Amino acid sequence: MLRRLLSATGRWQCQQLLGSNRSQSSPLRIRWKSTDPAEEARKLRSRSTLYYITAGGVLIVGLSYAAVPLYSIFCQAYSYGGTTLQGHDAEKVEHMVKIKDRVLKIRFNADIGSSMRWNFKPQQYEIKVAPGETALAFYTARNPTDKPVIGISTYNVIPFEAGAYFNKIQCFCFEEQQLNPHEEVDMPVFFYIDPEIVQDPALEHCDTITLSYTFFEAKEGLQLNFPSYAKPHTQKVVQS
Amino acid sequence: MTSQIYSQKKFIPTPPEKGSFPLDHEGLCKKQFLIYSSCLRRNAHDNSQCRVEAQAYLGCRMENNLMEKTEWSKLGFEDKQKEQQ
Repeated sequence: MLRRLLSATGRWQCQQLLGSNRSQSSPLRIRWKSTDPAEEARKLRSRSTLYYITAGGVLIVGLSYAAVPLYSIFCQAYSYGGTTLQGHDAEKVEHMVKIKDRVLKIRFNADIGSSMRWNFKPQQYEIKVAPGETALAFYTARNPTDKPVIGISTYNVIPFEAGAYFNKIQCFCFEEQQLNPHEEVDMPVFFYIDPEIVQDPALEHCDTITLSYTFFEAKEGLQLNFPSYAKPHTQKVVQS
Repeated sequence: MTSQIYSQKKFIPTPPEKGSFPLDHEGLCKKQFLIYSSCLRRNAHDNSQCRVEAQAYLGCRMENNLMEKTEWSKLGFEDKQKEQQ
């Protein structure tokens, strides 16, 4: 302890001597530059701990950013969370059996976006359909303005659980449709209800399914991001 | 509310199998559409009664290049006189 003090004072005197070479106007400052090895080791330890903690924090932030694509890859491979691997089968339509005793009422609803200037309505309020039977329904859209308007639509099926059994063969959604000024067109929807709906216990008392279409105005150069689990269109119909 | 979200099946909109119908701008199949609509109204909106008229409408679309030609069995219809043509 005494040795330490003596050595410290020795160092201090050394510093003072060195300090006298500087200009006389600045007051002598005593700097306690400790080159004590124990303190050095402690400093090194605390610095390395700080580095470890910082690195751990950066790693966690990086992992949370990487988790987003990794999670979606995992879900697609193992179909968790409602993502489906198989799509609808064209073969299924050929071989499906109509179930006569369970008749479902399909209600049709039409909506437009707030800035959409079309008049859009369903042609029939409801249709009675048996599962396993293909059905045709119509919507009518009219452009009352003097300019051509491009619309794009999306749909919704209520109740949500029934949406898994509602298969559309052909419709008018997800693609841009242009209506010329003062033009009116009929838009068909060709669909069927999967006969497996009768085996679903959650839909045992479901008698009414509502199909709701909403039209939005498509702006020029609009790129819609479809989720990765949405199937692309299998065949594009060639217009005459 | 959160528990409902986790237990419910999510609704995922899927594109249709055959893609999108091109719009019938010239109204080429308007007649078949009106026949089908009136049939539905007569039969209290029962789809089973109006299969012939629906088939006629889709046939009109196919003839006028507004729909891809496919076999009737793939669309869920019985092969009737249309197939013989």
